Amino acid sequence: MRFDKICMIDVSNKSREDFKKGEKMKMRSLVTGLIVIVLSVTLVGKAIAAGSFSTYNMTIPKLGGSNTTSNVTKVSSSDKAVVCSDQIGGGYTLNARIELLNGSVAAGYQSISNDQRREYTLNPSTAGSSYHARIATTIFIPVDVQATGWWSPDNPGSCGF
Amino acid sequence: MFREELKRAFINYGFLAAVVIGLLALSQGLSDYLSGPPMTSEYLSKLPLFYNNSYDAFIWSQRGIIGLLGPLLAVLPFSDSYLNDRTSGFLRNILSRSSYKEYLFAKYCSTGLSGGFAIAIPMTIFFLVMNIVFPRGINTNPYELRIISTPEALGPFGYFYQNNPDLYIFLLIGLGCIFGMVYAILGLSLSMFIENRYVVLATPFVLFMITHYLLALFRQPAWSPLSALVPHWLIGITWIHIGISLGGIFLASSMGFFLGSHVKEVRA
Repeated sequence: MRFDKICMIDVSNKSREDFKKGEKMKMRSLVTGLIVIVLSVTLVGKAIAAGSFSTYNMTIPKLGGSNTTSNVTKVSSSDKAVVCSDQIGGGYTLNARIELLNGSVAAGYQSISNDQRREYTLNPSTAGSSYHARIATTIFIPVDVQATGWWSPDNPGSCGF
Repeated sequence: MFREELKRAFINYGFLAAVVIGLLALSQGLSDYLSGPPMTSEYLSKLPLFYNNSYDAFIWSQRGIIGLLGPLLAVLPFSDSYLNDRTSGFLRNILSRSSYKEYLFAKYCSTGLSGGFAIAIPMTIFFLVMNIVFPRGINTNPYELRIISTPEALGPFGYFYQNNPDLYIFLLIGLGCIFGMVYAILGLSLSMFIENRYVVLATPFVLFMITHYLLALFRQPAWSPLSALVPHWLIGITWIHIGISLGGIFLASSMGFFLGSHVKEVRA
């Protein structure tokens, strides 16, 4: 009898412990889930607020010719735009500026070369407006030049080089 | 004799035209620098300190058409003068008063100096104007600046830009002066062999353009003769590129001049 009683007590204690463990696990996963949700909402929100990079890969005509990247709509209220120049054919130095959709200049020319980050203060800087980057050769470059990189009318963060 | 030739080299319409064309060409180079949005006081306050400055403005102005017109500006003042003296009969009058050697030495020096100053004077005037128009200072923001300010991007003396930008600009002007001297002497040496003054004036420019284009086509742009006038047009231009370009033309044209003058003397 005693032995049975002891066994019964043991069994009931064991099930209580299992139940407690289960509850703890549930709580843990709930908290983890909440943290993940909060973090992802924050990060995605931040990313949307800061915009994202748009890549370009284009040929710039020789002797002062220019080409434009695709149009990107500005999402943040920051007045900075960024051009990350990855590779420029022939090691040439090019010029890049930011323009509005109608071609009016939002930030003047800056020289760019390989692996270079360039920031532009926009005027006007309007969230919801579309911008593009114009990249030009100088009058000295007698050959067409290939240029690759990424850019943004917002300031999404590091260029990665 | 030398003083007389120097006077003739500097006081003529060709020299004046070279200075005026040089100033216009530098202004054209500045147009891209000024192509930004309206510089309102509110916008200027958001830009880095010295974002627009006199040094960068001058460097940008050099990246315009002046780089290509350099050889033409250098020969305009006096490079065809030997040919003119010969064809007009003026040389006989001069030789009645002084020796041929003396005349040649005066011609060689005065042509070189006029060519050098035909490039250096517009550059100096333009830099002085830039100092009035733009603030004098260096933009130290590493990401938002008009030029690539690393030493290797600014030519063989690019390290002066950060610490002593005035010296850097004066070295650019000095290099322009040497470039002008060399190309003026090239034009003078060509006048020993070519009888048409327009061909004499155009040939240094045409040779310069062809060499520049071919070297770009063969993916060796740093060796272009342009590197000697605009050493910041490309990253990685060194004294070797400039020295070989200018030194080669100087030696060839000086030898051509003295050889040509000797042949002409013997014929006479």
